[in-house]
Amino acid sequence: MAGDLQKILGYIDELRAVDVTGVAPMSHPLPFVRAYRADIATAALPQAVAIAGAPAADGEAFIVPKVV
Amino acid sequence: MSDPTTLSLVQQARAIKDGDLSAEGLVQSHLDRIDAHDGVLGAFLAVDRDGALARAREVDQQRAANVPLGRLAGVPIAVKDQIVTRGLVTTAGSKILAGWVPPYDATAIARLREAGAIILGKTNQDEFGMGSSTENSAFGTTRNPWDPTRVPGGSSGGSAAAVAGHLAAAALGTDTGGSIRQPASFCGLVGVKPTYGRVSRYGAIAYASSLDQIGPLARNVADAALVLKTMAGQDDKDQTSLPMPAPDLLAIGPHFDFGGLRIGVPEEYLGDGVADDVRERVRAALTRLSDEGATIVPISLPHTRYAVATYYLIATAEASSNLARFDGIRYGHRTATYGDLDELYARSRAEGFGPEVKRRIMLGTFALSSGYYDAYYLQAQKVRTLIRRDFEVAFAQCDLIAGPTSPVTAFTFGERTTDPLAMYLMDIFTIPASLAGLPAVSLPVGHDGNGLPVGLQLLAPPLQELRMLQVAHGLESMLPPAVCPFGLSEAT
Repeated sequence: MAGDLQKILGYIDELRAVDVTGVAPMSHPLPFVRAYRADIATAALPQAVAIAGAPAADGEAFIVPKVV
Repeated sequence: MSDPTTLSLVQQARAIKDGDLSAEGLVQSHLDRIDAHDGVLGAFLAVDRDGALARAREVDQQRAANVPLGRLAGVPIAVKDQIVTRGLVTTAGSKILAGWVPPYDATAIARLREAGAIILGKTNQDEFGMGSSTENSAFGTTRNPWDPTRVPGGSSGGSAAAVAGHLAAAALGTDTGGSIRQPASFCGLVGVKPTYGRVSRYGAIAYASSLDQIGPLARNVADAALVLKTMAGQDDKDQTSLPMPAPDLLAIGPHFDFGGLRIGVPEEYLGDGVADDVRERVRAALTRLSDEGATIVPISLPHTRYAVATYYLIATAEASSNLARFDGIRYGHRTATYGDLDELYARSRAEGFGPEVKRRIMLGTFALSSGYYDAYYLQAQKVRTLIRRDFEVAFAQCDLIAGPTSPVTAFTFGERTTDPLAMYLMDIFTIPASLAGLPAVSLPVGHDGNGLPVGLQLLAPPLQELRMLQVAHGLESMLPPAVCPFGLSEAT
């Protein structure tokens, strides 16, 4: 794994040679205005359904090890 | 009627509407074919036998009662396991999600169901979409129906094998850097990556959110267009879904006038590293287009050589963040042995993720880490801008861009797994469209010396799926059909 990562990073290092002076970074593929929905509460998953896939739950909440 | 699995999706839908075929019979025929062949192909991770038959009977009852049928009524469709399906196990090919039953449908699935489509089952894939051969699945191998000693491509390899092997009428895939188009190329299919935002990502398990798109794999362009049309359109549940109306992809006619069409061919796409047979088949297809009146325009996309490195920084950075949600708390695998919360996280993830996923999470975390962020991640974002600019310049000179989908045809198992970088470089022609958010389609344009399909890729400016698919349809009509030989003796 370490050897693979070294090789991949060596390849990726080629990017550092590209002249990007004055180029803006791109975080989203297209410049279109994003769609916002109305700020209205809509139906959400019922609690029992939301926790049904958890590895450990007590019927109301996810169970995690004691943190504090 | 002969075996209905040999019909196209469009033909199947019409036969059901016309009463020439029952939905139950059509679904049963596909289930029979899965029983006969999926032991070899390994396309499916889960088959919803009872659910599919029950919904097919509902379609038949609706038709008998003269209730108007949806445009995909009764048509059996397979779904890549990256896409969430309510009540049907969804794993994204990962042990960390083994046995997880989602409580909701992806928007794309909900729209297919509304149109009457039957979700037949879930298909194998590289874990979380990370791979180009489906060899990175936690749940076994998928074989290419054209030659079962070879991979089907990836990461949507199970979907491609299912459709090429006539185990489903069509399938959904997801494409982050080529994961629909490359398996379509390897399996002789049409695979469409829509414009970024054209299809809602709600319910597509996130790999790299600025790149992921859902799209169809089908045996011809019209079938793919029908599935895409059904899924496309703005969705309140995905903020990046585009507010523009979906194009009328059903308007793809039988004939396309190529006169005046300018097709750009990047010099970087037919150079060294492309297999001779692939180059020849793609050139032959371009000659056909030219003979029909299209103008072939030599172009350059000079930053192509940096696309793979850019992709493997941006995609892995996004993946390292997205996959943080798999922590053994709310869903998925939790380790049996832990002391505190940190150990629970670490052991659950160490046990649940496969080696390629770990490699990409580590690479992405490194690219985002303090001290390396500017040199790697930010630099990659800037080069991404240059790659998009390449396309803007190119599309001032041409209407569409054409080249090979993959530099090679389907390879044998294990041939490229020992060198991850060599596998990454196979994505060189599909990654640029993903980085730029462009629509692209792969379609079969012949075979190599081993009889394996060769795919040609068409790329279009944003939102121009209609023209792209019209041209693909026109080209398809001029070429012999790509009929997969697998198991056809039983089907005819």
